[in-house]
Amino acid sequence: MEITFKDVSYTYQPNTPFSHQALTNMNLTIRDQEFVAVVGHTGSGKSTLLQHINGLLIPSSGEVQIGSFVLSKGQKKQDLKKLREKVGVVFQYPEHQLFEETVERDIRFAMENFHIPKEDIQPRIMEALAQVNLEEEVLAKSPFELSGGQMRRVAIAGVLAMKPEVLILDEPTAGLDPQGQQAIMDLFYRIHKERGTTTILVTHQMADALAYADRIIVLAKGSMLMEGTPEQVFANPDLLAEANLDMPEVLTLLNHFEERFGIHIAYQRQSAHDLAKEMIEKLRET
Amino acid sequence: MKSYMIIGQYVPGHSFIHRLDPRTKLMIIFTFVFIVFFANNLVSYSWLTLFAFAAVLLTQLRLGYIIKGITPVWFLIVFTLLLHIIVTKEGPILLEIGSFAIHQGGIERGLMISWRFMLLVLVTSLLTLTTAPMEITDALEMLLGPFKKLRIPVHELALMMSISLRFIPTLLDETEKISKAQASRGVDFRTGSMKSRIYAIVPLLVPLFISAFKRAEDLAMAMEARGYRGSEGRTKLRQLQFKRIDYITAIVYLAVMIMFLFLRQ
Repeated sequence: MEITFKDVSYTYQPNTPFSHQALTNMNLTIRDQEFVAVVGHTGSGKSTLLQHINGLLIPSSGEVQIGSFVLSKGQKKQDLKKLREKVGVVFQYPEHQLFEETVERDIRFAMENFHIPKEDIQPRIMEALAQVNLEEEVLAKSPFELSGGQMRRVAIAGVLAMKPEVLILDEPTAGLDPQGQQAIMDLFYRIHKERGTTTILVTHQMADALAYADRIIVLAKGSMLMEGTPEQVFANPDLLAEANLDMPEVLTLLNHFEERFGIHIAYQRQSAHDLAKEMIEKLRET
Repeated sequence: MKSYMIIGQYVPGHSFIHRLDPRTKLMIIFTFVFIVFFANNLVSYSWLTLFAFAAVLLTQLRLGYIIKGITPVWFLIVFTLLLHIIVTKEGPILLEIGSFAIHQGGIERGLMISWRFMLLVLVTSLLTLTTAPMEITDALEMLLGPFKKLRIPVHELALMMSISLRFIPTLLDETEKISKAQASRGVDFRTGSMKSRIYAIVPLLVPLFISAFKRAEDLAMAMEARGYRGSEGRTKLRQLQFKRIDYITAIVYLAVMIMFLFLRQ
């Protein structure tokens, strides 16, 4: 589904001493089946931006269009449930949303709310469970008996089982160990490729933005500072520094490498291992 | 969701009222709450109202904001007014519809009581609007200090109060986050039958309680790790101290109240 923001502004707690404008005249388009990373410093408006995509927030002014749904202040109340069925959100620390007595019932929860036909539910649970790499035994357990990493996988399975057309990921790997982070990001990327899910990833980790995104949107103080392919965005270290963001480590390394040895290696999403090999070979040649 | 939660929420500032010692404010409001009940004629009510509005002006907060903050209480005020008009049967009859009559005494009584009510709410909301919760607990702990002799655990009670106050915003944030997460999973908190709406609260309450317990445990652990052992031998980082403005305020307040005694019948 295509997502369009037209002159969207959002103010929290308007008309009080605490009023705070989190988004200012945001204009952007996310194409169908695109993988977009939204990066920005704390308080840049990332979370506000993504809560507009499934109708949790309605713009104070301007309008947001998601597929055939239009959200704007003057708009008549519509069935947001239909929209939310299509837009799955994995929040920060999604394990905090678990509440059911068993893992199975928690994964089932969203599907029941959205009235998915009964016969479809069980196969979807099994599929989601396999996707997040959990054993069938956990289904009967209480989610609160599981480890933190497992709880996160259960919560993610609950969102994946909805089979959303748009997947919003708000720092889905925060607080996981490096292997766990890699596994979760690979999972989302695979789903994006297999199902053609439009994916919006909010992240602090430039490495993830570089490795997975088709396009990066850089936010600062509630406005868009920059957008483009990872190559374009990371070719602009000064502008990034203005948004208080770092360069991905890989690119910094390659830049240092070029400075030191005068050898240019293009970054093409190689793994660390392949990149090291490539470096050794290039150094041997000289 | 948050926008409803402004009843008496602390607004940082540097006005005269903000700078007063919290103990001064607490004592003034405590006595004011009693004194309001002694007002019995138009002059004495106006005098107290004048005092209240002078205090409002001194806070340098927008009047509209303060009025909006007490909106939830308006219903109660109007309700009291109506109740008195209907129930009180004193004085000449003003209006008669069938067997139902409105007496002049009822209107007078009703107006007086709701006026009293409004003054109370207005003045007490000034305390929380201009005083940080921690200051209020510090002041309470000091003012109640003498009760320690009666073996009342004043320090522990004050600590409980400050911890609860400290976690109100945290838990509100948490509630908002969880309710958004569950709304994204198709929970509908706003529409549907009463029964389905009550059921919709379960996915909100369970995670909220779990995280509250977890926070409590973490906090207890962190306090013990830093050697917290209750009030004994404990000193404070911020000592409360009466300053000149507190003495001035106390004298002016006393004068206002003496004047009030003369004005009432």
